[in-house]
Amino acid sequence: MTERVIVLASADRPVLGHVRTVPGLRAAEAAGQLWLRGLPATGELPVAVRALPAVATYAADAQERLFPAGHRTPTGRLPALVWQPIAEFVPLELPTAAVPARTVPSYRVRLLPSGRAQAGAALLTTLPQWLAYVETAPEIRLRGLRFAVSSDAEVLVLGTPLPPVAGQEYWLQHGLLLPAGFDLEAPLLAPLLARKLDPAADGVVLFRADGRWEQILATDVVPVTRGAVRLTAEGFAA
Amino acid sequence: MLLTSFLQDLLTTGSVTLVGRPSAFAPDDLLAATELLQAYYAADAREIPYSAPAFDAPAALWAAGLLYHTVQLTLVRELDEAVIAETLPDFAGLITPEVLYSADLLLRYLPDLLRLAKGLAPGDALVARLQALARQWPLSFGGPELPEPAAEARVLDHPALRQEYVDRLIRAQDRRRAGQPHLRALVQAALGAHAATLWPDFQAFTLVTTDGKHAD
Repeated sequence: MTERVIVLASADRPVLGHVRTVPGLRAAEAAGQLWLRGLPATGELPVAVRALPAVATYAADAQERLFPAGHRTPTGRLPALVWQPIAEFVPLELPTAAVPARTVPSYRVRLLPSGRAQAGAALLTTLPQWLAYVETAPEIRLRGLRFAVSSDAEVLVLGTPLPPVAGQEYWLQHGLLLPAGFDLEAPLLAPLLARKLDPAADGVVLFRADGRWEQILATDVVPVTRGAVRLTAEGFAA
Repeated sequence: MLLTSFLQDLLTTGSVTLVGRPSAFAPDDLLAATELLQAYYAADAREIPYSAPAFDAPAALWAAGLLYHTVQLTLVRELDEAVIAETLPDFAGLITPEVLYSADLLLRYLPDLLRLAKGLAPGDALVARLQALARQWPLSFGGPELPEPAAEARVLDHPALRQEYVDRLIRAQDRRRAGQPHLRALVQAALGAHAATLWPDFQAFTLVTTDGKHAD
């Protein structure tokens, strides 16, 4: 006899991981069975090999005839298979990380009183006050302005010079409208915040003093004319 | 429908077609033109500060006819002074704020024709007639023709017309008129504290030197 041969069911392929390091061991698969060869003909087999769930064990002679253990008559011949070293037959796979996913840290935007002053870029007022101003304002004071109206008749006026109308004035920082007199708690985050809240950069983000915010799309902001403001007010009155 | 077609083209495309010789307008043409002018008034009045004076149909029709015939006379140069006097008459009624604004709906196109006529023949009778109109209707005519004081006072007496007049002075950057003392204050009030950005050289040409003369 020249070697020993072990046969396993194909479903038991994962257990071959335990014998990957056995020297000389080669494997092949055929007809739902795993064939192992290359084990020495005599002597005690390694524990890992003996622990395999074998369905059959044979001794093979030089003519590759198979002899069941304890029998002197061969019952078959070793099939002609493509034999691979066990390390290639059962390749290593990187394990999936078992550590839990890391959550993105959240940041609560807070506004703090600012120590500096800058020109206002927008004004939040009410539609009646805005209409009253536009009715009698010189055209030159309206020409550089644009406006948008919310469903609850709040008016955002953008441009310069801002109209002398009662309301909340806003500063513009990186596309963020902050209430005049306030800055972000971390001013360096303004560009990042603008990119996150308005990734398409197609409008402005209006922050309230309490940290609430809303996006106003550029398409919703129209040039100021007396006619546009009057028609808007008529639409609300109807 | 000579006048109605003319107005329709003017107010929608800005390109007009008219017949070669002056002729009177038919009654149904005048009726249709009045309806068109009233609709134009309603749209234009939305842009007027304060409350626009009410529509005055005779004034609007008079101005429409005047504009129509001025275009004709600008193109047909051989027509004499008699035709000009006949086709470009003064407004016959009392000049009220309603008349001023309703006539302005079309008289506002005349300054361009005046410039064109001046370029064609500066000493022409048509140019003289338009210059006379310019002095009488200052709301509609900006530019070099200074208005008759009484005509300008009628404009300044009405809040909507006054504000519109000042708006037009600023829009045209009419230094000659804006530099006059009685208008300078109105223009300054409109510009407010932003004169330096809204009309950068306004302060420079309205500065008064110590001997009472303007800096320019």
